Amino acid sequence: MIDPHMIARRRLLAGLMTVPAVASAPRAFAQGAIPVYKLGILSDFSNIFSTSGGLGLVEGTKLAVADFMKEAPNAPFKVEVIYADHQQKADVGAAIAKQWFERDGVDAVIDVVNSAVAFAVIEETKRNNKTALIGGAGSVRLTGDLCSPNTIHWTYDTYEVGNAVGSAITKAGGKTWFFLTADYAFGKDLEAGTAGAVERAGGKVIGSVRHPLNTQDFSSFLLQAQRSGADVIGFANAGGDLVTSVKQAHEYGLAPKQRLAGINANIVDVKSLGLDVAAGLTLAEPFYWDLNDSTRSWTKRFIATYKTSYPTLHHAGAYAATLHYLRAALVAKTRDGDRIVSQMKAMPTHDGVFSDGLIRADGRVIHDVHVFKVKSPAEAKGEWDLYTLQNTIAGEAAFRPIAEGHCALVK
Amino acid sequence: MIYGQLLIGLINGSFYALLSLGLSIILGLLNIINFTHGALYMMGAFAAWLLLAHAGIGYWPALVLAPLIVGLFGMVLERLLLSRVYRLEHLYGLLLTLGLATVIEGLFLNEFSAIGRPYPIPRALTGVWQLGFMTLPIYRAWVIAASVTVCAATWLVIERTKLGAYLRAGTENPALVGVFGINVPRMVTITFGFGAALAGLAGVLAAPIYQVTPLMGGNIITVVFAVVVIGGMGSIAGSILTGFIVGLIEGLTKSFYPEASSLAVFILMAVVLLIRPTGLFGRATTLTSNAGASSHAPPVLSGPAKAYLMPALVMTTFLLVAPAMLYPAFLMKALCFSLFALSLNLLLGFVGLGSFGHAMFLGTAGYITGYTAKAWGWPPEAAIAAGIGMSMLLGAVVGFLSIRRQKIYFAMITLALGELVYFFFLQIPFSGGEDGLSPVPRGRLLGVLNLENDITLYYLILALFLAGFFLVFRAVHSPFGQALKAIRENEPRAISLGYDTDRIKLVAFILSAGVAGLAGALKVFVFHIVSLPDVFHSTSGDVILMVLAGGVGTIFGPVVGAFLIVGMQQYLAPLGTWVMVVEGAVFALCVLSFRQGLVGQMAKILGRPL
Amino acid sequence: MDEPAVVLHVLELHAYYGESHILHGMDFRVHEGEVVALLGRNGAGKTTTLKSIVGLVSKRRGSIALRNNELIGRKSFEIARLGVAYCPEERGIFASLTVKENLTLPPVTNPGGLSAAAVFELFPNLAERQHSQGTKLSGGEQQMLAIGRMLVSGARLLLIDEPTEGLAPVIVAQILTILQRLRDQGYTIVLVEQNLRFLSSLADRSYIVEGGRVVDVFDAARFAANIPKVESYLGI
Repeated sequence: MIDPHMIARRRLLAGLMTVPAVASAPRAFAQGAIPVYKLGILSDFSNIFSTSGGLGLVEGTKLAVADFMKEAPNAPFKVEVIYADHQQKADVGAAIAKQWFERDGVDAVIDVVNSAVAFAVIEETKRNNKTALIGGAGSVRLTGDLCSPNTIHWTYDTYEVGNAVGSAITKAGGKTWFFLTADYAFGKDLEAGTAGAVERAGGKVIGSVRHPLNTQDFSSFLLQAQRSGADVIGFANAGGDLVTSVKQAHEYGLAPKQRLAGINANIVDVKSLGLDVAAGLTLAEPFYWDLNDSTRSWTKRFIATYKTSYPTLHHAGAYAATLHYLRAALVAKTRDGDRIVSQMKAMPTHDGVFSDGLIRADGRVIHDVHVFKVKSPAEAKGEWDLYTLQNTIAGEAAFRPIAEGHCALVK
Repeated sequence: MIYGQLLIGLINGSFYALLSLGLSIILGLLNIINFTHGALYMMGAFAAWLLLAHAGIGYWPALVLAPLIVGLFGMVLERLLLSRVYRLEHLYGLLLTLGLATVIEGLFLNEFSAIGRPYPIPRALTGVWQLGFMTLPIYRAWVIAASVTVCAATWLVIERTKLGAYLRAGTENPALVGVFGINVPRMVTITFGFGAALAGLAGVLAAPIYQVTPLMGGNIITVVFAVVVIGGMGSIAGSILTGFIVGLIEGLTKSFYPEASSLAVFILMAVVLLIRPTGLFGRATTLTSNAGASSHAPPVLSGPAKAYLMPALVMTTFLLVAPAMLYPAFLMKALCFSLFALSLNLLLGFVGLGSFGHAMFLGTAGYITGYTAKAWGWPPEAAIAAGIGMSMLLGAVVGFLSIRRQKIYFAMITLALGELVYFFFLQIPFSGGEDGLSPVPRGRLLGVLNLENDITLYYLILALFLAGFFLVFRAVHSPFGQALKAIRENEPRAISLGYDTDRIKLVAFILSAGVAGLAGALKVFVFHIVSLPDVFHSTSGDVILMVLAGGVGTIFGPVVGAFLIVGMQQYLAPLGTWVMVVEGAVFALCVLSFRQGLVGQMAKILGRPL
Repeated sequence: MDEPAVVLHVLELHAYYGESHILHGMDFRVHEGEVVALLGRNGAGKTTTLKSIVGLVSKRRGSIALRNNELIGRKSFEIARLGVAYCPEERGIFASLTVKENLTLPPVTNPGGLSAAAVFELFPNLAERQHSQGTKLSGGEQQMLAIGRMLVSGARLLLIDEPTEGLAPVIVAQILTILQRLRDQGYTIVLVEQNLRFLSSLADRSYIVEGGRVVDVFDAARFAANIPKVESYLGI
C-alpha cells in the first residue's frame, strides 16, 4: 500500500547528481564526442506545488528518457536529467536557467510551475536559443502575448480547464454561477476562462468575490457564495487556497444544494481533502491515471519507483514533453531551440498519457480534456480511485482559439 | 449579512486572541518577540494530526495532549537556547527565535511537505446551526467558546492569583523579583512553556478547519505581531481584546473590500501607530533592560579610516578580476545583495536599529526602476535614479513612523510596515502582481554602453557597488558616524549631550533606504525581472542573516555575508527545503555563539579592524 | 561575654557596571543583631554595595560571606532564600500589583516570616489601602510597604537603602520607631542613609564609604561626638 506521505530523502540528495540515461551502443556522431542533451527540470520542490509536481516530475522525465532510448536505441546522443528548486522566486529561477544555459549546457527547461518564474525563464530561453517546455505554469499569456519560438506550453492552461468545467456543468443544468477567486492573475484568468464558457453555454455569472492569496479562513466568502443562491460555486484558485476553501465549503454545508466546481483541482488536492469532503466536486484534467489501459500501464511503471503519490497531470506532462522533445531532436539533428520547437510543432504528439494531439503555431499543445466528478467514499474501490469520468472535450474545442491569443508567431 | 461577517470575524479573532495572548505573555516576561510562536502553533496542529494518524488518539484528548507536548518543547527550547541570549541585546532574542522558527518549519516541510493534511471535525461538533442571518458551523461556535474561556481563565490567573502576581511583578522588574526570593529563571521557563502551550492549543483548534501544513505558522504570525503592536505592550486584557477587534475588522473588510482583507490589519496598525503610538491598551512602560546586559552590540574592533584601505584594495582587486573565475550573473546578484546588506548593517550595526522590513526598500526601488525602464522606456541611469529616489521617500515615511520606538518595537513596526508595502505591490496593477514585472530591458547607459552584455553590466554594478560601499563607509567614519555611535551606545546620554537623536536616526534610516534602493534598482537589470519575493518578509529575513553571518558592525562583513548566503541559495538549490533548515541553523548559531560573524571573527584573529 | 556571631562579612569586594569600576575593595562586617550604617557622598558606592550583596550586580570580585555561605556566584533568589531581605532605594513597589500583592510577594523561606495580617498590624494605614494599586500610595506609605515586605519572607538580615529619602519628618520618625523595634527584636540591619540624626539613634556602627571603599568607621558613641567630622565626609 503506497503511503502518499512518505518522501524518499535520498531522492533529494540524488538530485545533486545528474542521472545519465542508459544508452546501448550509441553510434558515434560523425566525428568527435557523443553529444549530450541535457534536460533541466526547474520547479517547486519544497513549497506548495511540490507534491503535484516536485520529484514526480523528475520521475516522469526519467521515464520518458528511458522510453525514448528503448524506441530509438541507435539515437546518436545521450540524455542527462538534472533538476533544481526555484523556491517560487523569479530571480532564483532566472538565475538557475541562465546558468544552466550559459554554463552547464542545458538544452531544455521543463515544467517551471509559477508564472512569474516562467515568464523570466522564457526570456532566458529566447536569449540563448534553448527550449522551454512549460508544464506547471498555466498562464495563457505563454501562448498569447508572451509566446515565443522557443516555448511549448504543455499540460493545461487557465482557459482550457475553465472552459471544460464551465461548459460541462452549465450544460448539465448548473445555470447560475458564483465565483470564489484568488486575487491574482492566475485566479482571475481561471475565472475568466470559466465564465466565458458558462456564458457561451447559456449560463449566467451572478456574482463573484476575490480573496487574497494564502487565505486561512474563507468563511466570509463562502457565506456570500451561499447567499447568492447560485446553482454552482466555482473555485478559481489553486493549491492550499483551493483545498482550504473546499474543505470549509463542506463545513458550511454548501453542497449538495449548490454544486461545487473545483475547476483546477488535481488528484493530490482531492487526496488531501479526503473523499468525504471532496465527494461531488467537479474538475477537469487532461490526464487521469485510471482513464484507460494506456494510462494505467504507464502509471504502474511510474509508481514502481515513485512512492509519494499516483502520477498527476504535471508528472504526465513532464513525461510527454520530454518524449516529444527527444523525438524532435532526433529528427531535427540540432541543438538549436527554435528549430527543435519547429520540429515539435511539425510532429503530432503520441505519448500514451494524454490523448494523441498536436502542437499549434503559438506553442500550445492540443489534447483532450476530461471532466471528472469526485467519487463518494462508498464508490471508491482503492486508495487512489478518486474520479468518475463525466465527459471528454476534444482538444481543439477545449483550448483557446488561436486567433484570440494574438500571438506574434501566428500569421 | 453583516452580522454573519461580524460573527465570522469573532471566530477568527479567537485565534488571534489566543496567539497574541501567548505572545504578549512571553514578550512581557522574557522581552523576546517570539518568532517561533507561529511554528509552535503549527506544531500543535501537527501534534493533533500525528496523534490521530499514528496513535488513533482523537480530538478531545489531543486538546490536552498537544498543548502539553508543545509546552514541554517550548520549555526545552527556552532552557537550552533562549536563556543564553537574555544577557544580550534584545534583538538577539528576536533573531534567535527567527532562526529557530525557520529550522522548525524547514524540518517539518522536509518531513511532511507543504501539502495540507486532512483532520476531521470531531463528531460531536459537526453540523451547523441555522441562525437566520447565517449558517454557523457548530465547530466554529465551539472555537469562540473555547478561546474565550481559555483567555478569560488565563486573564483571571494572571490578574487575580498569586502566581499571576509573580508574573506581573516579573514582567515589570525581573531583577528585583529575584531579590525577593522568587526563582525567576524557573518562572521564565514555565511561562514560556505556557505561552507555547497556548499556541499549541490554538493549533489544535485550527486543525479541523484550517489547513494543517508546515506553512500555517508563517501565514498567521505576521498578523499576530501586528495585533500585539496594535494592542500595545503591557496589557494582557488588551492583547485579548485586540485579537477579537482585529478579527472583527478583518471580517468587516471581507464583506466590503475582500481583496484588501489581509491588508486591513496592517493599515489598522499604521493608523494606531500614528494616533496612539503605545497601542490601544498599551502602557507607556519602557522595556526593562536585562540585568547586567550590555547596552550595545558586541564590541567591534574599529579603527581609523586608513586601516581599512588594505582590505578594501584586496576586495576591489578580487571583484575586478572575479568574472574570469566566477559566473558573472551570480557575482552581480551577490554584489546587489552586498549593497543591500551594507544598508541594513548601517542601521543594525552602527545605530543599533533592527529593521525587519528592509526588503520594502529593495523591492520598491526595483519596481520603480523596472517600470520606468520597461513601460516608459527610460534609460537605465534615469530608471535607477527614480528607483533610489522612491525608496528614499519611502524611507522618510517609514522612518518617521518608526524611529521613535524602542528597539524591539521598532523591529515589529518595520516588519508590519514591510507587510503593508508587500500588499501594496501585490494589489497595484503596474507591478504585475504574482506574475511580476518582466522583461525589463537593460538598455544603454548614457545612450552609449550596451548593458545587455553581462560583462558590461557587471562592471557598472561593481562601480556603483563601490560607490555605495564608500558612501556607507564615509557615513560611519565621520562626525555623523560618531553621533550614531553615541546613540547606539547610550541614547539618553546622547540626548543629554545635545544630539537631536531622532533626526540623526532618521537621516541614517533614509540613507540606508537609499543604499538598499540602489541595490534593488540594480538587481532588476541582472535578470530582467522584479517580482513579489523582492518585497516579501523572507527577503528581509535573508538580509538580516547576511549581516549576521558576515558580522554585525563590521565594514566588510555584509559583503562576505551576502556572498555566502546568495551562494548558498544558488548552489544548494537542489537540496530544496534543507536550504531553509541550513539557513535557520546558521541564523541560530550566529546568535548563540558566533555573534562576531565571519568577518568579525577574522578581525579578532588578525587583530585588526575589518 | 562572647561577641555575637558575624552574620555578614564583606571582604575585598570589587564591583563593576560594564566597564566602570565602582567598588574598589569594600571591607566590613556585621554581627548578629547589629544595625550598621553605610554613609558617603552620592556615587561613593553605597547602593552598589547593597546591590552586590543581593546579586543585582553581576560583575563582582572578592567575597561576601553570609555566615558560612559565599554569596558571590549565587543567584538573587538563592541569596534571598538564605535569609536576606532588600529594600531598594526606589522602593521597588510594583505598579501592576495591589498593596497586598506587593506585600505578600516574597515567598516564606525562613521561619518567623510575618503574615500579611501581622504586617498590617504594624502598619495600619496599609491595611486600609490593601486593595489599591501599589504605586497609588504616598511616598511614606510606599516606604512602609517596602519595609513590611522585607518581613514576610522570614529573613533576619535586612538591607535597606535610604529609607528616609524625600519623606516628611513625621514619617521619618515613624520609620525610626519601626526600625528600632526591629532592632530590639533581634533583626540584623544594614542601612544606607544620609540622615545623621536618624542614624545617631539607631546605628551601632557607621562606615564611611568613599571612592568605593571604606575610609573610616565610627561606633555609636564616637559617631555622636563627631558629627561635624561625619558631615565633612558627606560634603555637607
